[in-house]
Amino acid sequence: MRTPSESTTGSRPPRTGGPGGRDSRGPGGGHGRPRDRRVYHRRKVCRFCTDSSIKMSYKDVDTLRYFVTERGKIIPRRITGNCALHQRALTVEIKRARNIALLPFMVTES
Amino acid sequence: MKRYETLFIVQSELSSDDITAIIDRYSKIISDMKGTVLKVERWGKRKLAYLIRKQSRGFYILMDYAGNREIVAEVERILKFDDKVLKYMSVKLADSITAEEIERELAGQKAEAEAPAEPPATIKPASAAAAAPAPEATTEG
Repeated sequence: MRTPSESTTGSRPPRTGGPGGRDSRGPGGGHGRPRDRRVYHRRKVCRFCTDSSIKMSYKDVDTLRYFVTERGKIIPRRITGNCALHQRALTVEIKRARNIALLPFMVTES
Repeated sequence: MKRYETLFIVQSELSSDDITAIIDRYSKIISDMKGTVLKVERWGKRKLAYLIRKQSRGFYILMDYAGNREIVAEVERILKFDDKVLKYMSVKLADSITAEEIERELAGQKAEAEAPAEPPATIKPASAAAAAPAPEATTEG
């Protein structure tokens, strides 16, 4: 990977566009450790898998709210860390809750 | 027989008598078509997430019942005509429910209904007091 070298010499002009350009800033950050191999990331686990006691239901708005932004959008699973199975089930429940006015479709900022 | 639940919102200004009348009306439709009402919940007045017919509040009622799809169609047909109903949604909970399960469900509710009545008679005033305010908590201010 070219991330370590790039983090040290951030001002280097030749930068191939496309996907590589993305991680130019992320890993090394400020501290000058060139051999930082690991990008810091939080271990994400699906909270529905770990805790089977949480029941997903459109009636349980408080749980659903956790997976919705302030504007009412569904948070992608790359952020929440849900597994695909539960994310799919979750979107269905959120959409049901929206239909019956328990959750907003959209929140406009005033 | 399948198990369904219908959650619907009625106007928030209705009196509790009106709401009881509405619940009775739909319970009758279900039982007339050989369905079984398993549970009726009054969620109480809630703020709606968005305006429905220019109203920002509504009274939520949940009905859980066993029946076939004709019942759902009929209930929804009547709900659609009902001016007091702002919105409704039906969800299938289970693909099949046996007569035994229905009975068990109803028996379980009976036991639950009787259980809170008993503690005051025995020596549990604390739990009874704790149980009493709970239903009111569902109605948001």
